[in-house]
Amino acid sequence: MNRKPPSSHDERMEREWVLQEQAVQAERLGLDVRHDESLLRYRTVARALRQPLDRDLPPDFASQVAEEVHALAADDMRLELYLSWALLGLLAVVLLGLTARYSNLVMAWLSNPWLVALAACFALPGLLGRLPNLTRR
Amino acid sequence: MSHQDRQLVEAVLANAPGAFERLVREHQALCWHIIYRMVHHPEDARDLCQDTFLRVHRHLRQYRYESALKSWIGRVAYTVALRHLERKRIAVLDPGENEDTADAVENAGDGFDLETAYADSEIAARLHQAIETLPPMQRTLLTLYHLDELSIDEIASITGLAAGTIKSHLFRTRLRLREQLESAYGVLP
Repeated sequence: MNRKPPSSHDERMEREWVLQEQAVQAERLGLDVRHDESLLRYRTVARALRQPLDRDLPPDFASQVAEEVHALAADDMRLELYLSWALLGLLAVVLLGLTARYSNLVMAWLSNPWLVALAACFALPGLLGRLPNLTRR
Repeated sequence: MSHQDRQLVEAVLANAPGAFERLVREHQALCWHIIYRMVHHPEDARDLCQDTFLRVHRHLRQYRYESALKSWIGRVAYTVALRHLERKRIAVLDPGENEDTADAVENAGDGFDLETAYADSEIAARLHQAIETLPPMQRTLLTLYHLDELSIDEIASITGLAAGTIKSHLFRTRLRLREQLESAYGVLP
């Protein structure tokens, strides 16, 4: 491995870094470093850096953001509902169009009693199933 | 990633009442520290914090539990702040930061009265002023390391910077602050 030996410059830097880190620990742990001149200098810096910021978020910030999120979610739901109704309307229009276009065929089906009876067979069980609910109201 | 993180994320994804508010409350301090330190404008910072949590809510399904939730949210906040600064064309780094480091190390401690400086509130105020005038990146890194007590690795995961780069920024900025502390003390009565 071709690694350069550390220069005196690097060693000075390393010592200074260690000193800075010792000051950080001393400040976090509340150690007394008054006897150590070089540490005290960085401890003063570390103390200033640990001070709370001059401004803060409002106390109700979390609830405001949560409300905003719920409002956005409700908007999304409303949009989905509007789109569903629009799609349903479109289907109804298409159905009406098809009925008008093929009205002769529909009329032919309606004039066939067997087809009407078949349709009634499908529709009646469903209607009868709903009858108790309707009478309860 | 802790068990509490997973529980909280799952509760938010299941739309449990109050879960998202709890998530915001638990991480709003870190978000504020990152954004306010970067942007340095209270109203903008507040709006950007709100934007951060809206993004968090929108993209929470993409969180893969690979890092701590704190780091993931911090990363979103950092990205939001960085984009804001880019839009405003504000430099996040001081281009002349690398100069004179060796001289500063050499000159450490010339004519510095320890007892006075340690107790003097005026010196503390001068230091705060010096911190406020630092470039956004250095200010943020110092706050995350000293005030939030995050490790270098956690800061690396938030900022995307290499650990060596973060250490270098911390080292040079603290050296610069110590220098300013000493020179400020020299002009005090």
